Amino acid sequence: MKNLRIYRFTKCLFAFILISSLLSCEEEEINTGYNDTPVVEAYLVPGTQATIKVSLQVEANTTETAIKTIDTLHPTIIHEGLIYYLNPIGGGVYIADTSLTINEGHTYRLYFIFNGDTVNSETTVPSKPTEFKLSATTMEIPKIDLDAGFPSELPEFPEPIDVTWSNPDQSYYLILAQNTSTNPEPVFDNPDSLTNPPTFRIEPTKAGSYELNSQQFSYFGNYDIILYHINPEYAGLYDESGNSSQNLRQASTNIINGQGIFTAIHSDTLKLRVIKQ
Amino acid sequence: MRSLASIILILIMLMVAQTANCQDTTGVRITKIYNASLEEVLDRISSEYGLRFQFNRAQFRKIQCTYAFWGLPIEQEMKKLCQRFDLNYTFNDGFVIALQLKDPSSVPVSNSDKDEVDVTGPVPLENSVYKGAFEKTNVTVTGRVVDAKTGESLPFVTVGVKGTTLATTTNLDGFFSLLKVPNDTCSLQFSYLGYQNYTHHLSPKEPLSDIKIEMSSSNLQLGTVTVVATAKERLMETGEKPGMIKMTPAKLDVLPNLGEKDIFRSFQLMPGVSAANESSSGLYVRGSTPDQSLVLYDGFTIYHVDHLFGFFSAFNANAIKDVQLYRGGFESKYGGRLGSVVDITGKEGNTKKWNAGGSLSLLGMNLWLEVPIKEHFTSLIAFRTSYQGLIYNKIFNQFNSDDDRPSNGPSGGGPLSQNTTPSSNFYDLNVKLAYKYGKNLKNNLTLSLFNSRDKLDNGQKIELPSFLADQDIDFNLNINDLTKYGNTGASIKYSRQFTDKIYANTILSISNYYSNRDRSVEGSITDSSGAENTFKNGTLENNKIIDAAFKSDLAIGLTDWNKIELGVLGNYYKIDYSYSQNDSTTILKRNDRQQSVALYLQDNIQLFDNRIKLLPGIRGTYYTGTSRMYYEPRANMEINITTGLKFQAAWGVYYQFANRVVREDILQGSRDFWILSDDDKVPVSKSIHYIAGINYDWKWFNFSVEGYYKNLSNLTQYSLRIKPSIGEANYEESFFNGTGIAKGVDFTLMTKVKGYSGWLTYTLGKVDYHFDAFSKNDFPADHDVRHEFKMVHTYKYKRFDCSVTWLFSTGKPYTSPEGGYELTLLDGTSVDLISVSDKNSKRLPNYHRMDISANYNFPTKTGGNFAIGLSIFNLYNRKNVWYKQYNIDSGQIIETNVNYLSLTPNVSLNYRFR
Repeated sequence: MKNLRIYRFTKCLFAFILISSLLSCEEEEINTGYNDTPVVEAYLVPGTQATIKVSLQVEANTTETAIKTIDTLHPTIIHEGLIYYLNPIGGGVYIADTSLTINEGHTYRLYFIFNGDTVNSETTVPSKPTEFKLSATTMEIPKIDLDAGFPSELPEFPEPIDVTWSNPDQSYYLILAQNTSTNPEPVFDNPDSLTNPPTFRIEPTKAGSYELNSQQFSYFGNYDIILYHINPEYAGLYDESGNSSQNLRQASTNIINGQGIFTAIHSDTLKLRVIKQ
Repeated sequence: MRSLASIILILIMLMVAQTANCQDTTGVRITKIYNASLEEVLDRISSEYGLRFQFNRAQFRKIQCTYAFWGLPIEQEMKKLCQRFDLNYTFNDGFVIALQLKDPSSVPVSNSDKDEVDVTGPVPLENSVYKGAFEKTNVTVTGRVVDAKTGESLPFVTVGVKGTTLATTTNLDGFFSLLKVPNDTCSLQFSYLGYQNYTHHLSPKEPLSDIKIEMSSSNLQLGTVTVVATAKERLMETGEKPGMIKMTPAKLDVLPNLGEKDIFRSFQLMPGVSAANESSSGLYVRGSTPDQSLVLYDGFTIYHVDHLFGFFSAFNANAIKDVQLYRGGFESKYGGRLGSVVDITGKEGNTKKWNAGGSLSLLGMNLWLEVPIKEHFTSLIAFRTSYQGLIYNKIFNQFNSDDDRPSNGPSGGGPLSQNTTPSSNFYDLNVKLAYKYGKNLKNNLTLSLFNSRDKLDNGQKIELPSFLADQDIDFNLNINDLTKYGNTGASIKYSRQFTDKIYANTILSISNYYSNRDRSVEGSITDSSGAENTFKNGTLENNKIIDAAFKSDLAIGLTDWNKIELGVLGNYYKIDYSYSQNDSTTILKRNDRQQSVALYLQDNIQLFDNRIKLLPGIRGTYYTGTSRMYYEPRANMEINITTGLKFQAAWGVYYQFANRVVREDILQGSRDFWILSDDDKVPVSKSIHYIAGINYDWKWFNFSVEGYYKNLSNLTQYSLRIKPSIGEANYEESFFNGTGIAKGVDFTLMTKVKGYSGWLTYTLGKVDYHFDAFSKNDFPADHDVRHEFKMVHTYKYKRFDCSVTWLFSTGKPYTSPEGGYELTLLDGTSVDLISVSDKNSKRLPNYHRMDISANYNFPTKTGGNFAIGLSIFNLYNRKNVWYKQYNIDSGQIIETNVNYLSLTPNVSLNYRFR
């Protein structure tokens, strides 16, 4: 009899725990505070005036999508021990006067105060690309019209163009193919078949060469092939940040107490014509 | 006169049976009409009333029996039955009613069937008690424990001397030796999870060495005579050693399942093993990750345990005899992993008769066959495969979407959109051959093979549309998204019980794991002139492991209180990994070749009448990857405070040399690979375990509480931050090193009363990591779970087996986006970027889920069983969040929950011939 009572008690205990567990299921999500941080965007190019743009990031989980720029800061750039003040011109853009020159191999430091924190960063101007060459200055591509049916014979595609440059220290370079023609004619009549816009880029590389093949060109016309010598902080913008809670990572930045980029670039340009076969 | 003798015989039989408390038939009343063969009638009486008969099946099968029992005392009923069918009676030891035709020639059978004499019904729970005085003291008792039905040896059976604390366990081959047993009339108690306890009373008139003990599975006890209070009918048992859990593979049928009973999924219902991991059947044990668990199958290491994105493990429960899980503090004979050990012993097969069975569910089918090839030479083969049924497709679709396919092919909806759906499946195969020979079968030679493969195909075949088919063009385009992975392992084991005190086994094994992934677009166009243009673009990823091992263990019983174990393990590792583009350009490549040699020595010491058990040990490993020696001192302790109450503790140092690296785009299926430590970018990882707890066994309850603390160092995580492009990715820079601390406490309450079995577990845990590359501060590990509560209830009512499981787990930590911004790139385009919260500073919603199942059993006349089962996964259709997906749309971060599996029913049919 005593055992029976214990048995019943056990059943009741298990039932109680089951029910109370079911009722106690509350969703829990620990929220941490949102930190308002400035986003810097600045590219220092030799021979141009230094400009920076400062905005605020858009808070997650809000319907507010407009980008807020900040025009009330007092940013400075320090170069060779001298402080240069940047002046706001609206839209979050600040510009240095012409006394600040951007020189190859020189280091520039950015400072400003935001919400009591010192936002700062630094970058060094890379060297101008050397021995930058294209294996050809013209590429002939057949015009393809898929709407008229599949071609009965496959067209002859031209050999790719070798883009080469000197890169003994395996630093980062980026190639941009910029179509400079007005209203360039597409290679394919079917717009769904266009793989690239008139201007397209190749992702950062540490190599000293690249093959530009004809399939990358979706438009005929005149192209500027620009080779940028870039710093690692710019290459970092191409890092994958992930798109789910399982792989999300902080986007690459070289701004302390902020987001974005403060970097210098140096480039060279060659001409290429893409014409009909 | 003959009738009188028969009655006396039956009465004597019943009296003896009553004395032995084995076949208490005095209260048995049968009120039933049977109309079947005499064989079937006796089988049914056996199963329904617990009586045991011995008879010639071939003969009795031919005798039609239409007979009514009228509820008379069983002895009278038996007398009438025997008169009716002209039978003789005898009875054998073990209280078996032996029935024989008075005139065997009246029912002729073939010569081969003449000896087909079988015993029905339950095996007795003890032998007869010797009534006299003892003749010898301090005796040594040796023997072997086997399954009564199949004759298979039973490993790790607890053997104790009643009234004392003297105890031991059987070794892998079922042998045991008990030294200094007080006298030759003592009673030995044998207990094994999933089996009826058995008591063997020693007798001076019977030998004390090489005794054979037969234990009966608790599954066989269907009748009213089952002695539930002494049965270890539970599915799970804790407390035998610190941190250890045992489970009965044969009884997993009663738990809810998603198409297949699964050992690793069932372990996730146990204390200390994290449960909220639908996408991994690997074990997260007390803060350790699946790759930190050593999984041994018949002595060889299995590197990957997942089938179908981790929803099932690669182990077929029908081919497994015994499973032990060490949640930490494991002894010196195991090594090479930081966290836990799963030691799986495969079945050897029925030694008496062939047997077969199978199951069919909405997921796939499972077939097994056991054939005794000749005396003491057994074989087993088990095969499992899936088909693309409802459940398979549901799980497959959960892990795949059209968005996941390689994006560099033509998009659907254009002129070339016709496609076919490829097939995906998995299978596994277990084969085992065992041969026992020599005096008392003390030599054992086994060959074990294991093979599993998963093919996950999410590709598309694009065909030429019909309006272009009449043109003279041949066009083929395949969008490949194919993952193939699998294990192949084999071991040859020789073991021998040299003397009562010396046992040795030697294993030669090889384990191969491969994982190949093809995400590419390939095709060919042949124009009217016959010119063919082929192309292929995409990525190929291959990982292959070969682990060849030699292992030898020796156990020597020095005294009745001291047994030492020592052994040597040599491994040769060959691990290749390559990640290439377009089948020609290698992006990442690694070829590791290393060896290790490990030696261990441990000492089982029992003091103060076994009230204190100590197991100090040391393991030393020389690893060529670092050209260093690694020493791992360890110690276990157990103090039996009072009957049923014991204190346990363990401490140990552990090293791990092979590491699994998980690539983070885990939406794409199997994307992990193994590499070896190099003491540079990937150092040899280390952990120190501290475990202490108490275990209390009462009549109906078992309660245990165990705390653990693990200090982890030299952990390695991998992050492929830069998108790989040709010749670009710096593989070595993607490894980050850190430390961790896992701590917690497990509470377990188990109960077993007649028909009902269940447990409640609660774990309070915390796992913190510190990786400078990810955060300046400590952060919760991805698998950190603060509270986890599980309950399992199983109830047996007549022919029904019902169960319900419910589990609750704190949400897992994750990193969320805090804000987004846009930058303009050099080409004038813009890029959307995300700033994130502190690493793992947020928690997903809590996970909870209830599963139920019911099985109805039909015992067959051959002694087997047919069962039909219904199982419902996620009964109340809880939308448990697996992870969150983020997209930036028009400057706004859109957050979407990706959920785990919704309510999923399953129907299964199970059949076992005997």
